[in-house]
Amino acid sequence: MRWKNYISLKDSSLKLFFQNEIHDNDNILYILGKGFDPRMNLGIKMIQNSNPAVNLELCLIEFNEGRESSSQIYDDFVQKNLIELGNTIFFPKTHTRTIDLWKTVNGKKSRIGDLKAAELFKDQNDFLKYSYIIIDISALPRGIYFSLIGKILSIIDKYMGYNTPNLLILVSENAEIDSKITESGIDEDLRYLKGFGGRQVLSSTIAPIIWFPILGEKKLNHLQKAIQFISPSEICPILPFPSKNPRRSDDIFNEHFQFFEDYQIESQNIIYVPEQDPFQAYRIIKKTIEKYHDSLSILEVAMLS
Amino acid sequence: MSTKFRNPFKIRASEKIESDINFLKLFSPEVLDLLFEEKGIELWNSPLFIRSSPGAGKSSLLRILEPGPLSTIFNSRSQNEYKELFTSLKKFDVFDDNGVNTLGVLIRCTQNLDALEEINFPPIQKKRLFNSILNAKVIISTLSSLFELKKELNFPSDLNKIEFEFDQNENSSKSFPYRCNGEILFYWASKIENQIDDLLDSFIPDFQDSIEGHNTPFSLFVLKPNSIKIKDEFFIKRIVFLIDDAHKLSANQRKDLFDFIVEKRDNSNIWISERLEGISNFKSYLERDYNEFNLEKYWSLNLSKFKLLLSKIAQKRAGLSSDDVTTFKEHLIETINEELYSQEFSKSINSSKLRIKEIANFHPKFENIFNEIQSYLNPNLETAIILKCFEIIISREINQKQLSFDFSIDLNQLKNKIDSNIQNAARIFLSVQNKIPFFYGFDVLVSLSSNNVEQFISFSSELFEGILANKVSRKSISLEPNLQEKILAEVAEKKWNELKTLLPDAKETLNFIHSLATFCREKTYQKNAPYAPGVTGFAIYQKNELALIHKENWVVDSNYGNLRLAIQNCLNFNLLEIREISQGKKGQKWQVYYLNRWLCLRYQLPLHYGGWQKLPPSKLISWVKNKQEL
Repeated sequence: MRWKNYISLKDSSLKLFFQNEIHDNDNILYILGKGFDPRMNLGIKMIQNSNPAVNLELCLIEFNEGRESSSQIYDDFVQKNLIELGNTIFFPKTHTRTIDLWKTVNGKKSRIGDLKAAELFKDQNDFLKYSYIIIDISALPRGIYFSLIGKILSIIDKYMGYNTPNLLILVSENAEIDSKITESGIDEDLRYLKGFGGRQVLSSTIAPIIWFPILGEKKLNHLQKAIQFISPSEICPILPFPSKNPRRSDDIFNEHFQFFEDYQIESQNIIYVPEQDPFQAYRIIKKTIEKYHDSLSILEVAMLS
Repeated sequence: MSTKFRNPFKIRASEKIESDINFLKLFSPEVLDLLFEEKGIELWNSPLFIRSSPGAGKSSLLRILEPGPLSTIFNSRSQNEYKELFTSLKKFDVFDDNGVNTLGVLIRCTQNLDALEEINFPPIQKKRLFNSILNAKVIISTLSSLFELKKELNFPSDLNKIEFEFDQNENSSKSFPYRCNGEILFYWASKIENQIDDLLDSFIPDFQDSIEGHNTPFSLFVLKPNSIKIKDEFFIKRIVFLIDDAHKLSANQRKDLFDFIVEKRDNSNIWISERLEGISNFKSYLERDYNEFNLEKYWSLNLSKFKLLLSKIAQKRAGLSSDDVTTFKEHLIETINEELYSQEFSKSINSSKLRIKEIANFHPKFENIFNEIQSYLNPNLETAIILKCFEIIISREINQKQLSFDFSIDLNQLKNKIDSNIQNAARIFLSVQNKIPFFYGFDVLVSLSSNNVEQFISFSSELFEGILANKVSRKSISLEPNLQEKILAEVAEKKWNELKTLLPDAKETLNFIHSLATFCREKTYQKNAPYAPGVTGFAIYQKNELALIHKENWVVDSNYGNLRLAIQNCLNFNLLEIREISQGKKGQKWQVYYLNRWLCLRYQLPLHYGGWQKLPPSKLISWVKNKQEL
């Protein structure tokens, strides 16, 4: 299990971590998304306040989402965030990387953000001088940060032995703000994000697909799209519990009632994971996957499709 | 999965998640009959392009030819449930006395193939890799289909029992095993597929420089019935490659593949399904010279058959309900209870009389008419419609610019001018102005479907919910017209609201649709109903010949990029339907973009086709840019 041991810090313990563990002689690569989210600068400000003399290099990721995107519509907020970043924090070493999230050819629009994010860093030479890599995903779209983190992790795993920098993922969470941000425009043609295909696209894959969708609010259309793409043999929906709002999982279930009925999902397939602890959620999912593997390997599924 | 459902209209039949049995229970053979009628012998030995908007039934048409469904049909051919399907498919020559003789090989283009375009390789290398992965997928899918057809064989232990001997004249790859067993072939294809998947999906690929590239998708042509043997015997008559969702390929991949298949002119059987969205070049859209089956186009030309198809689909689905409601169409009440609406009819009749009186005050030639219509008293549908027709015709008369003598007109002259278009316009005017149900009954449901099966099912499923709800509340389970209309309008509204989330560039596209529908309403509801029964579409009219300064062509000019994207979005999401109309000079054809009929419901427009306007691109682009609250 990859994350058998993990460190997850929040609030005051995170501040304490920055104060005690990051020293003046540490070189930090801070990867930050340039976005409209008001939480964009919270993480970097916390580091700055904890250790003003920190040696920090900023990699600002600018993403071009297209004409009607949130970052265009809320450009005022983006500019406000940038001014705040420039005013409060001084970085002699700042470089901006731009990523196109979409590509349009002959009127056909396809998502390329994840592919481009995976190309931002090539190999270990990009990281040799750093003791910390901090990826702040607060203002980064999911379509970027999954592949970005995956690529950096792969480089560390494959090439960096003793010189491994610490990799920290930072997120400023605020359920109220999250609930006010709504997505629009679901991709017409789905595909797995770069690095997360799991060999499911292979024609020669013989195992049945067990799908673990993490259910959330207002995602019914997403689910319908995904199920057509994945064509799972079995569905194990994941609901958040324990959660800040103890009724949240019930509310989500009610919202998805038709989905449960349409696909005849049995109650024993529902998995509860803690809302506030992604590592614990990972462990529960991982263990469930292992149990499925054990069961299906006994069956020796002997079908091509 | 169970074979009974509370509301069987919620099932998506073509999806793989449904078993072959459930899929066949819901499949109606009419589409096969129509395909055979249209194509006959051309079905085999040449490529067939199956096109439609999403949800019209392309994937189901391909799935029926896969070994699983074909074997089930053959093995149960004498049972009532499958007799009709067996008879329809027998015409396709897919069965002989011993069983299924056709091997359907499904190749889905849904997964990651277009991501190849984003690799930092030269175009020729990307093309070669695309051919490689396609060849690998075709080979593996063929083996998969063989095992599905030959149930006595087990995968993977019996792979070596299948022998292959290919024609060496085909331009394939150096490593391709021309004479081998299934195990070797499977290994050859899996290796390529794994390597390319690694290239596409790994953050740090292992085989980047050693992957085999192919010049052509040769597997589609080397795999022939006489190249496959089991126990020294050939056992299939034909292979049909079913390439599904080809619109999901990149533009280059699609072009390369189609060019190769069409130019090869081999007698291989290749069926390609794609959405209309795949055709990005607006000009060449209707200028295809190869074998095409456009589902919606054929249904639009065979409306009675489409109605029969939907009727059977509804019957089959209702038959699967676990709640003892086994019929559907019969529970949609087709006529309104006139007693319930007598007040509305009276109001409309009085309003028509008042309007005619106002006109007669200024135009004495209508005085007789006004006197004669006083005898129309009965507050019923027929009277209200005929007076509305008179109102329309009189409005037309006074609008005529041509000078005419003010000879008095009698009622019979007026009646002679009533045609079905005016009647249809009068009917919808009456309903919309007086809140009398208009959108109800099975025929309306068929029209609302815009020749699209999935759309029919999406509306029917909510009507079926209404029927089930009536049953629970112990009322008469049949749905009254007003309730039908309410449910249908709610579905349309839900679809509209979903578009705000589903559509890319939603605001611009919805601006465009809203402005178009508003324009159609204005044109439709003019008092003289000049385009009766109404306007529901447009054609793009760009006249340059007489202009001093030539306007830019909307098809290529960057200023019209937003318009092209909006129209493309509308086609992708089936908000506009394209029909080819002959009008004007001899041989002149127009591509008319009609609003999908569910949008007509939302904007209370008639469901008839025929009313459309020629509009300049400058007007259309202004609609895209309209700022409005939706």
